[in-house]
Amino acid sequence: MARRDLTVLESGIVHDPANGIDGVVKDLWMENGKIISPPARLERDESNVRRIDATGYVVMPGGVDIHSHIAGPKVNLARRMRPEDKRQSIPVERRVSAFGATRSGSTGSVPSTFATGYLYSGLGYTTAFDAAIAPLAARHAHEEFRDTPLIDKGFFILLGNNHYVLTQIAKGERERLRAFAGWILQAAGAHAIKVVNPGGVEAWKSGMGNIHSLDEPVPHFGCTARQVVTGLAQAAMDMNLPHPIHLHCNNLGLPGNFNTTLGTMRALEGRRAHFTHIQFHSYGGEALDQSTFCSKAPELAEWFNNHPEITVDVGQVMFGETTSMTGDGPLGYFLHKVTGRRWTSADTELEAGCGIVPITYREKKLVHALQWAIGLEWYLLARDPWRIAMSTDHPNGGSFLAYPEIIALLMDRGYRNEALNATHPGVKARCRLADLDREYTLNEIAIITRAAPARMLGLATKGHLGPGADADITLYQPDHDKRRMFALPRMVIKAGRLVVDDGNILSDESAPHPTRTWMVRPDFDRDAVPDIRTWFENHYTLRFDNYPVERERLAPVEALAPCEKTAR
Amino acid sequence: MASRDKTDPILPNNSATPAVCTGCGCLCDDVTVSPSGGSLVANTHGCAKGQYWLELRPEPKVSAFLNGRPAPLKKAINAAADILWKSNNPLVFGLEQITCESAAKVVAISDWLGANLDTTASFNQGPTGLAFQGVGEISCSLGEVRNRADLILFWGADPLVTHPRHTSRYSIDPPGVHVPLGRKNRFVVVIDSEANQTASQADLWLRPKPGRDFELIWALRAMIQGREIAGYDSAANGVGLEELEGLAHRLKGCRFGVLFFGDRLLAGPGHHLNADGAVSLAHDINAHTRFYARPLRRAGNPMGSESVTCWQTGYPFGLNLARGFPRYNPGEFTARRLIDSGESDVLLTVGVSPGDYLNSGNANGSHSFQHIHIGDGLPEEWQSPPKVEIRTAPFATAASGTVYRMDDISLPLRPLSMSQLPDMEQVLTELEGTILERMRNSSPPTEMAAS
Repeated sequence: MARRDLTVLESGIVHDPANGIDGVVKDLWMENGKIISPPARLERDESNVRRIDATGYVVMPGGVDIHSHIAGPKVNLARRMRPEDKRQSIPVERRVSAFGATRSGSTGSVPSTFATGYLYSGLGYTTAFDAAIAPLAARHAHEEFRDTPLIDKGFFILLGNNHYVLTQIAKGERERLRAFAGWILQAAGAHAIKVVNPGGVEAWKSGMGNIHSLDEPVPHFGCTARQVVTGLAQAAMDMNLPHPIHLHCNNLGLPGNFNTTLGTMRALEGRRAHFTHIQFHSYGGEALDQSTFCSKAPELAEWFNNHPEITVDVGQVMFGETTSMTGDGPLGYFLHKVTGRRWTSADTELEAGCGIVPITYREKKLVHALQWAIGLEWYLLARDPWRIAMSTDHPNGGSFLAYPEIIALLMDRGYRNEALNATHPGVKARCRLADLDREYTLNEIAIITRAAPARMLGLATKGHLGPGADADITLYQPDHDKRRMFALPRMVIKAGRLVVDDGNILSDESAPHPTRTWMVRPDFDRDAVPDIRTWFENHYTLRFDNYPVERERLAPVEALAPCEKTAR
Repeated sequence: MASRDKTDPILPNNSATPAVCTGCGCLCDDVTVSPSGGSLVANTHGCAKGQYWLELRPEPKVSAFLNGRPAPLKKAINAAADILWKSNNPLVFGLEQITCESAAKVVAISDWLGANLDTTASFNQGPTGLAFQGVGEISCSLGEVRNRADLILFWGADPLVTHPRHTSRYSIDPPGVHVPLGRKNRFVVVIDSEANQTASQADLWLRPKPGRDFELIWALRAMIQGREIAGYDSAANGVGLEELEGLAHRLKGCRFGVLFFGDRLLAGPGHHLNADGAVSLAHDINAHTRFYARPLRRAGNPMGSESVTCWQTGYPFGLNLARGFPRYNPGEFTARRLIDSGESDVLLTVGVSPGDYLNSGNANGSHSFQHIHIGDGLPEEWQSPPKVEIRTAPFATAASGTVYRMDDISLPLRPLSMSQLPDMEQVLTELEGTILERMRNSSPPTEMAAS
């Protein structure tokens, strides 16, 4: 019998909520980059088995970030715009040794690609999704992914202001819309559909301001934000996409926007949707009067708690310097006007917009402190941790490196109240955070940082440690200081290979199982392609044949997420 | 020299092969080429510049040279690796006629070596890069221009000469979604102090006195912001206040306007302030309507290599990796100073004709660095032969990979002919591997020993 190449992680305290395991001491067996059932005793020939002693360590699946901005033109423009941000941050040094070589990089709010991979991995995260790529920028995003080591990746494509989409929705062409969505997901090599400020970005690009309500017609097209949201949500469901539409509602950041958010939730009428960076959409108050600004997280959370078809990630704001970057063009201009700081805008033909502005969140500033508090309210008010994922909307609310701090705020009420007392004194009267005494358990943290986001994304091999799962595993040293515990994992294993040991990145490669990019290949009506081609050739400035990302470019890294009905 | 004898490249059988022309920053991908008379002819949508760019030239039979003498490729790569690895302060420069995939290898090599890394952007688009860091940028893809723009302003630019199909494909002529009549729906302005062919197609041509662009930009900004202007000197600036007011009125009143600025705006005194001013002007106009500002970029793939450099290091050009991580300081780590000061002991040029940028700094033609060149053959007038020269398959017609249009849109570049010369990406991959092997297995050079 051929010798097997087995690894066993022995005697760790395993938190694997997807498999109902909450702090049980057990062994985990791995082979060929996957978790396997414990092999028969005969096969456990000592010489075959690599043993890693995990005694005393907390063992979790590798972290999964459902919403982050780490690749593509928008991120790269932000890098180019902000040398000072990197100059003030600790860089990543290159290392060359007999064991392997790792590249150097710059950090700050928008790290370079190699640094992004190392920082995520060093944090115990093994998968991250970029949330906003214009399909025309898909090739660029894949190129950056190629240079982002140690994590599995994927991205969502912007369709909520796409001209073909708006046209089909206005005409009520449901089948054609679905065919287009299926075609473009494949052409781009994307994982899911993203909707950003539906109709509003197109209105801005047309010089017509923005869309502020669900039933306002989109200029030149006539359909409404309500129709865009429901139309694309339905298309995603009709195709059985593993992740439903990933939705950034209208009116992000504006006082009183919770009405739009709640209206959007109602408009879905039971369709599945993921509401992203929900914190930024949970504000009460009058649009033009900052003194009325307040939290409406409780009202939205109540709807959320009663509607299992909805999932959210938080978009937590953390205090400090960061970079706001969004596919929401008019929002970028709004932030530029509010902050008076540098502004980058970049619009993509027929598809999307983009805005980038440096921003500093200050704890003594009422609006910022309230945004911070509203994010925490969401974590504490959401009853089902399986439907809420941790995010800072990196780097918008703060860096992903802030996750350990958020974990500490959620697990330790005393620490949270101290932090709350240090913020602007007006916050407590405008939200319910001070009354919330819930504390997250380790298992709940494991849910919102890996098990739940993996399930929301439809990644059957991620976020858990059962047989067949990818052997992406993080070991933490138990510590009363949760920031320290989660900021410095003891070990990180990617696809069965030890890649981070006590904070040291060992190698660029998780070979022999290289990191992969997740994408979908839904069925769609091929008869619709000639019409798409005609439209494309009439409006774009490149050839139709040069638009799809070349398959050969993706082949070695492609991971297909199946499009099939999943039981919830 | 007999060893430098030429051979003909292998032509495609296929007539009407689709091509991406990298002959200027437009990267037209609607061109098709066919073999004809031993070369390629653009049979649809070619322009004179593109035709010259895509022309097949006889190739050298030998690809590698050591001290000007033919050498086996492997030996040349080993020699280059040894020189680079032992260098104290190498400068890596170029990245113009290069795919993104090859550019990524060059950045990797620079990282392992702890080199200075600079692109040709520091010679022409450097001011734009600095302006972006000062005020941001406000850009759109060229399809947005085609579909929406009703006002086009070329400043210090003459696209009919430098980017021949820019006006017909993207900016002046083509009908678009919101400008169905094309040229008739657009107002076209040229601001240029020098003779300008594009001005013949413009509705308005303003000719400031040379070096007075900044004064015009600042006056326009004041007008757009509704400020009083005092002390504007019409005679000295070459454009009257009323003319400028007329233009400001049009800029505010358009539905979607674009300012394309060219090398001439970036060449005069206070050039980085001009770029800063162009972007700031676009910012100001956005209080009234949608307005954008974009530089016209040069031939090859400077946009793509700048992008790659930026995503791998965080900085677009002018950087140094000697401390084990990227540091950025244009003026300190840019090629011109490192060459002029004699600080660099080794120069690696890749995908560039170095004479276009680096010759003029050396009046006597002598230099203190050892030179390694990878790319198209060097012109005869380039100083003395490099220590190592590796000629790779011609970028324009035989390279395969990704290239970026001037508006950051990426396109796939596919070979149009078979070259007998080695592929640049493969050469660079081997060079990187050889350098890494040296670093891992041998006694470390000074930089590593210190740590």
